[in-house]
Amino acid sequence: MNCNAINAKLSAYADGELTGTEMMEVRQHLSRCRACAQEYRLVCELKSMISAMSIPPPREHLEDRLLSAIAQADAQKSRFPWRPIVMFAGLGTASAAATLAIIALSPKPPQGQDPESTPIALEIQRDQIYSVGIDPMAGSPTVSTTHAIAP
Amino acid sequence: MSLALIAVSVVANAGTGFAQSKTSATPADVLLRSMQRQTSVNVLGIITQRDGAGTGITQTIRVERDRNGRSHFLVLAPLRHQGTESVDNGARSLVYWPDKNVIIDQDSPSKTPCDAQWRMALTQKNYRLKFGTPIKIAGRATRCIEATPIDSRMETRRFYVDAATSYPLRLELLDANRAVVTLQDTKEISYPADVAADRFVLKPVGAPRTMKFERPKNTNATQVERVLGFAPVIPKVMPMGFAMQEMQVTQSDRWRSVAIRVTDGLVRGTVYQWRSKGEDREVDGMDENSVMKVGDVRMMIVSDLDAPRRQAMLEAFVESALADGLLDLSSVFLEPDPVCRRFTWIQNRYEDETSTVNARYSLRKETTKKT
Repeated sequence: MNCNAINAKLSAYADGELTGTEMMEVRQHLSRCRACAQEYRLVCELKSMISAMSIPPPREHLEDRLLSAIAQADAQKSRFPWRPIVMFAGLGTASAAATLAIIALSPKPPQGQDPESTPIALEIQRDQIYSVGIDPMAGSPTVSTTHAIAP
Repeated sequence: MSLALIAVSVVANAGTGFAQSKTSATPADVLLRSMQRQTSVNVLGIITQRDGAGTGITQTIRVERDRNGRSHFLVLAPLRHQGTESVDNGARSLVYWPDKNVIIDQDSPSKTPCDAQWRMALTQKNYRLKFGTPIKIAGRATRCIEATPIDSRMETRRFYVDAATSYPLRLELLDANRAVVTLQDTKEISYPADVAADRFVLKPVGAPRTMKFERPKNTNATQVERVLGFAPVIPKVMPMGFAMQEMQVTQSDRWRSVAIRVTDGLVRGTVYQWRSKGEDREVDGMDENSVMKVGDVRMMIVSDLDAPRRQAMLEAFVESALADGLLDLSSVFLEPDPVCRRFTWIQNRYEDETSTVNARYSLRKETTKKT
């Protein structure tokens, strides 16, 4: 499995939801791929932060409103068959926004490295941004070109 | 309304543009247009691209560009790079790493002269260009330009550019097994009539530390020797049709190095050289095809070339250093980083010297043991 395939399975791996063979494949890959191992650590940290969040109590009359909303949705279902897809997309966006918020508000950067401790990596990264940053064929160089170097 | 404006824009650009070229433009013309830094339209899109570090991980990036050359990129995935932003307002280029709480502020690369013409000339030397089968990407009709390398070590590349705007939408290469590898792809794209000016203003969270840098200065070998204390290694002939584009000294007190930019027209690379003080632990872990120590000079190549081609490029630098007498042969055989272990041609070509050097090495080891 390549890094992309592994990345798609990291969340399930962290939750122990993969088959035995898949668990083994992911574990083996993580032991030799620093980038994926770092991604895995972030996934674990994120899961731990989310699970540590307190569960807000539901607002008053939630149950009634929920049942009424379901009844309304049922009534509209035949007129707007695409509606559930839109709702799902909306949920996805909300979840992504929440994830971003958690990362942005996180007091300590997860696995963040002090740039002062990695001058060469940072300098090369910066120089690459300068040298290929204007080449439309090079895409965007905003992300690390050298993170594979740093421990 | 916006469609009408795009149409006007395309027609307005037709002097050099596509309306005329659809019938007469060569693959080189189309490719050259897509290499230009300034687009004829504003661009808003979501792209995916393979990680520059060669990890095989795909990044998802939101891209905004305007026709004045300003740009704003935001990384959406993977998680560890999410929120990384880059804004270029034409004067300064700012990159913001929220996890590190750092902004890198440097001169905008758009101030430097555009090298598209020079690179296209080199491309035509190194590749045969032809039109491929056009397909639709993100709902846009494209033109496909297939670049087949003359040097068999390089890979065939396919560029898909928007048929109406010449904006690059997809870049593919065919690997050694003729399998298609997508380096960059467009998932969504639109060409808005206007982009708000504040899109090119960076809005970081809190008060990140800003590190300011000046642009690297163009230089020559003599100046490098004077400033950095060593003669840079510059091969007279580079493999795979590559040529040196420019030589620059990086402007930082923390790490002084010379950056030699090389390209074959389509693929870029930078070979960094610096005098090692022996504490470059952070580069020690990098794969051995990308970094090595020759004498007291470290060399590192950063490029989207694959490992064997990166090694071939480094070989050219070592060979040149040996030929020019810049590198002592013994240093490629001795510890701690014996270059010869990787480059069998060194052992073959310098067979006689090998035994001498080995003898010296054994002697040195013996001496060390005794002391």
